[in-house]
Amino acid sequence: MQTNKFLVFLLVIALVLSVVEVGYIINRLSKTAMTGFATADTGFVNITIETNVSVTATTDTIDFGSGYLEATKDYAILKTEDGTTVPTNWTNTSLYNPSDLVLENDGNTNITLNFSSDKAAAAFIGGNGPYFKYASANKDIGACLSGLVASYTDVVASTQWVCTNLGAGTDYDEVYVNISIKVPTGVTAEAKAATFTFTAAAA
Amino acid sequence: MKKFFIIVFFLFILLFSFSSVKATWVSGTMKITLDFIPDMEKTFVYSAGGPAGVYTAYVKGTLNESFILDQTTFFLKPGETIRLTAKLKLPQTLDPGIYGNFICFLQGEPTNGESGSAVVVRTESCAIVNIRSLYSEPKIEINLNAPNLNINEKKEFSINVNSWTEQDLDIRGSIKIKNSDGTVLKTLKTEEKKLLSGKTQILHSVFNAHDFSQGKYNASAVVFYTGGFEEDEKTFEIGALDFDILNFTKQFEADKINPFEIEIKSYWNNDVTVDAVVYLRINDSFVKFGETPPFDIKPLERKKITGYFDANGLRPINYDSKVVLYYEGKTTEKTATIVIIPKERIVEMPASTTILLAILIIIVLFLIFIVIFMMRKLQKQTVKTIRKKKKIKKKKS
Repeated sequence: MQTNKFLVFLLVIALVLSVVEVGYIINRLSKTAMTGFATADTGFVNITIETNVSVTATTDTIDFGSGYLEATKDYAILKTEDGTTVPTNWTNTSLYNPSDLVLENDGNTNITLNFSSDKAAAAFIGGNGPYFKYASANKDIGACLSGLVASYTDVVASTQWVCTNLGAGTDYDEVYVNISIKVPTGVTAEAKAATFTFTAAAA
Repeated sequence: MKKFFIIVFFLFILLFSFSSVKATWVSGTMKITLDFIPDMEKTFVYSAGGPAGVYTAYVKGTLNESFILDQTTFFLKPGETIRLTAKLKLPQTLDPGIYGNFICFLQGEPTNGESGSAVVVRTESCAIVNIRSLYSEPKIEINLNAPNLNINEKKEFSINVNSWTEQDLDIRGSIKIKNSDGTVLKTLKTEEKKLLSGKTQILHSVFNAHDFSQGKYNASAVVFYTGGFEEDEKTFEIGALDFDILNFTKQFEADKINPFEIEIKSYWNNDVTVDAVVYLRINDSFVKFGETPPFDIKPLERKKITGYFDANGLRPINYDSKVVLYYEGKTTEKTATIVIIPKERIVEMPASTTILLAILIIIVLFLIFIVIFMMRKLQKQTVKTIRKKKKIKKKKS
């Protein structure tokens, strides 16, 4: 019991000494201004946020698979919008599940988005009257503020618009690029290749 | 099954296939317009990046030869950022006009292994440097801003005026409000302002849509300056708190809850919340049978809204109906005949029938078993009888 009383006494002494010492140190600091001690009560932080133009093809694969034009037909139509739906006049010899391209503005400013293809329909598909068309559509509602190419338009071997003002917000910055092709008769049986280059610049 | 000629005369493989991410980015002053000064020199510094791979930097545009890049080919490691410097030196003379130039950072061509036989996607990000060369004679470019508004509302119409001349100009404007026939209904005057060489000014005027009815109008702006004028025209719409019911579902199945759809068009130039109710005439009074939840409609929006229609207890006949749209204390209604068709019935075998059928099958199987058993027994008896007869014959002999 006596030991406890002694310990409480020591504790109280220690607390009092601590408080006195803290007060003494604060008093000294206010007079001597040590290195790193702030002498003014206002601070400034400068930061420059640069404009960033950035574009990502989050879906960069369109795979129509392989197949052939039904022999009794003059042409077949394949669209990325088909999904798993069977295309017109076309027999697939592999899985048919094409998806639209998805382009995302992941910079911090609205952008113009266009593309150029290295081939138009004749060079890409060949045969008797092929077509190679594209259209653009919002993936996020209101992503493209102007200049969507809503109806299917011929892909030509020069620059074409996808969207003239694509938003930069996290929830409204993605657009689809849909592709539609017409495979006519007289097309050479071979793998077909074309290159799309998407260009982003500040709107 | 349709018979096809199995002649493979075309094999079409269209693969946009490659495994790496297709992305590029560029940071810095991404869009700038400079006024032409003979022999002017300027340096632009950008940061750029993308997934690991080969990249090309290049300049495209009408003055691309006036730019020099410090480096044009880059091999990026994962997460690496490069610094790209473009030095511009303008020529001594340049015809008036705007010259767009793009400093681009382009992903390299995918390798064959990456793409297979493919249509390949790649990306590039570009910074824009426009060079503007002003005319020595007076020249301006104008852009009218004529916003939509509602009846009895006032809104500011404005004209952006860009100077394309080396001269300072005094400018003033007027905006004529015309109906679809081209008749001038009102003329608005703007203030007069000084437009400095190469700068922009905005001229204002307030339009009051009091005394105007709902509909589409044209605003035709003219800006006068010393020695000439420039024109621009825009279409705008004056809204009224009103809706059209364009179409709605007119056929439902009896004795079930059906989906109900109604297509509406708003003539109001603000957001508004609406809901619709479907009534059928039963014994000379309209009784509610369906409704939609509240929907938010945007200014001048045309939209399909959906709800339900409860056709439980309704006889399959034609009914007089009305659809009422409620909004902001107002209503719009449309009448039509609604057809209730009989519910499609799926013929299900009653449970008692199923049990009876099962019992019948069991009985038949049991009978077949008895018949087989009896036949076998008969066969054995016949064999025994024959053997007995043979034995008796042997004994006799």
